[in-house]
Formats: sequence, C-alpha cells, structure tokens
Amino acid sequence: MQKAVKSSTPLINLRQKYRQIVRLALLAMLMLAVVPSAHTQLDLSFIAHLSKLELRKEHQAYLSHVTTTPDSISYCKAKFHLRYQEDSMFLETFQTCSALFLQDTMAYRYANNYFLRNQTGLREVWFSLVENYVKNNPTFSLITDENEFVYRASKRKHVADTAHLPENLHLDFIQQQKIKQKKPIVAAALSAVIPGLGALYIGNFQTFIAKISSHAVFGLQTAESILLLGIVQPLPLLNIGVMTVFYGANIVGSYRDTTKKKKDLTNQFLLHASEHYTTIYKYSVY
Amino acid sequence: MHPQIRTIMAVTVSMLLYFAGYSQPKSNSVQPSIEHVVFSEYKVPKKEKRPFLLVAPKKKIGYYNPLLYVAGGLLFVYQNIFSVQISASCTYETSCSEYTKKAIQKYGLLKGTFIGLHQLSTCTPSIHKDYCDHLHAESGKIINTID
Repeated sequence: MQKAVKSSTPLINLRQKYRQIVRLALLAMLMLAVVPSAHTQLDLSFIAHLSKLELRKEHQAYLSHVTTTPDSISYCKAKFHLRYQEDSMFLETFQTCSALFLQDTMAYRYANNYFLRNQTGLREVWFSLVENYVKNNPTFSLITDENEFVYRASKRKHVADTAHLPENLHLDFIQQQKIKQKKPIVAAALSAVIPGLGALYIGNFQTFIAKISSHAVFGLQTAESILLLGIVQPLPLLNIGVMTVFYGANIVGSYRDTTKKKKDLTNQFLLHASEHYTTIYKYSVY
Repeated sequence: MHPQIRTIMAVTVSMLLYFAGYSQPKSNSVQPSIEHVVFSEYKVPKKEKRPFLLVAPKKKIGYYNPLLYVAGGLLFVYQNIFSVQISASCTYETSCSEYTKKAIQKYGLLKGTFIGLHQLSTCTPSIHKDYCDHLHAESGKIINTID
C-alpha cells in the first residue's frame, strides 16, 4: 500500500505542475493579446517618417490603431489632417486639442500660413477659433505670428500705414485698403446715372469702356428705331426691352463687382503674404 | 442602259464604298488593346454634358414658372447647337451661358439673368487687366465662380 501511495504522489505533482504551466501559458497569451494595445505610446519619429514619405494610408492606420491619451492622439490627428489638407476635419479635431496644438509653434504657424492661402470661408473660422480660445483662456500665452498679424491687418478699417509690412506686400496692401472704402451701393447708383461709371469708381477701366460702348450702341439703335418707326412698333419695343434688361444688368453687375473685387483683392494680398512667409518654414513642419 | 454610264456608275459606287471604309485594307490597323496608348494624345475630349436648366430649381415654385422654361430652353438650344456652330470661346473659364444658367439656378430668373448679361457685356479680351493675378487660369481664361 505504501509503495502504491508513494508511486501516485509524483504523478499528482506532475499533473499539478502541468496544469500550472498551462494556466501560466494561457495567462501569458492573454497578456500578449491585451497589454500591448493598452500601453502603446506614440512614436513621433515614426509619424514624422510616415509624413515625410507621404504614406497617407499607413499614417492614418497607425493613428487609428494606437491608443494613448485622447489629447495627444487628437493633436497627432489634427496635424495629419493639416498635412493632407483636410480642412474641415482639421478644424473639428483642433477643437479637442487646442492647447496642445497652439503650443506647437511650428504647427500653429503652418496652420496660419495654410489658412491664409485658403480662399473659402474656413479662413475666418480658423482665426476666430484661435481668437476665441485665447479669449477664454487668459493665462495662455500665444506666440506672435506674422501670418496672423497680416490677417488682422487685412481686417482692420482705414489703415494706411505700411511700415509694419514687408516691401513686396505694400502695393497689395494699399490696393486692398483703398477698395475697402468703396461702397457697392455707390457703384450701383453711379452705374444708374451713366452706365459703366460704377466700374470706373472701383478702378475697372476696361469694364467701363466695354459697358459704355455697348450701351451707346444699343441706345443709338433704340433711338433711331423710335425716330424712324415710332414707339408702338415691334422693333422699337424689342430694342427698348433689350436696352432695359442690359441697363438693369449693368446696375446689378456694378454692385456685385464691387463686393467681388473687395474679396479678390483681400485674397490676393493674403495669398502674396502667405507666399512671402512660407519660405521660412516650408519643410520643417511634421 | 448605255455601257459607259454603267461603268461610270460602277466606278462611282466602288469609290464611294472604298471611301466609306468597306473595302479598305486592314493590314495597317492598330490592335485595339494598344489603341488607347498609341492615340491617347490625339483623342478628342468627350463632349461636356450640358443638361437642361431646370435640373433643380431654387424653389419648388420654379417648376410652375413658364419663363424659366423659356430661358432654360433658349440656353439649352444655344449651348447644344449654336455655340458649337459659331465655335464660341469665352474670356471666362465658366462660359457666359453656363454662368447665366448657374446664376438663374442660384438667384432666380431675374437676378440670374442680370448677372449673366453683365458677364456677357464684359466678355472681351481686354477685360483681363481688371482682374487680379490669381484669377487668371493657366488656360489664359479668367476664373469666375458664381458665389
């Protein structure tokens, strides 16, 4: 009996050991499956590498799979969207990581420069988002950026001083400031008095020539037809109708041209400004 | 029938058939598989689709406005028949007729027509001087957007 007991105990021990080993192996496998994703850290050098080689899909996949603090991942995602010019996505992501993004000087400057070039309404959205953030957080100190300074200068009213701007932007700035003072309603009224005068008021000389010559031709033709045939005839009535429509188009067009030229000259000034400031940090933002 | 007339007719018919392509030799023809590579430079671009004006009017009431149908029809006929025949080329990137169409769709018949006619009356080559540098496209035309 004693022999039998003695022979069975090592067997039991072995089984227990095997069970323990299997349990440990299962636990290790579980750890391997779960732990790495829970404790992965952002590899910024790897992100810079992906960005420089323009590996967009890989970049996106890496950012979507890596799990770390939500603020830093949003910051990386914002930079990704800025890198690949996804404007609205960038603005949306920026709002979740404003502090971190604005502390990154290069990224902030790059975003400013990028939105200076942007001719959609998103330019205003970007600068107002930054302004609001700084207003709501008075303790936050934002660096002074030339791009932002130029944008604010373009928004000011009646500023004739160009001393604070680089020389190659002087002409654009003066043109932009001059056109700001022109009023669309005045242009429309002037066009109503003499067709094309509204275009001359905003400095469109060629438009003025085209307008006044076309109206002169139509006017003379209408006058001649009325003199020859009388007013209640099909041809004079047709001429009067065409003349009226073109006259109306001239007034509406002058009003529209003034507002459009304001926008165009502002865009041109900001575009040239962004070109001027881009050379400083063109390749260093990732 | 006179034999000479018969031969003349036969020659005429055979010549017509030849030029129509029925009896042309096919030894010099390019394989269809590489045709797009060989003639890619010489391919004529596909004609731009120009749908009728009233694809989506601004308001539902636009469907009941007969003047809108007249304007749309006139523009449709001009764009698809006359514009090609007179080989019209506009100074602006979005041609005057297309611009008018878009303006009518966006602003309604009256204002849209005014806006379109304003562009038409300023559609001269000298107008380039009145526009900013960034509005000149590479094709030499002026970039004009409706908004």
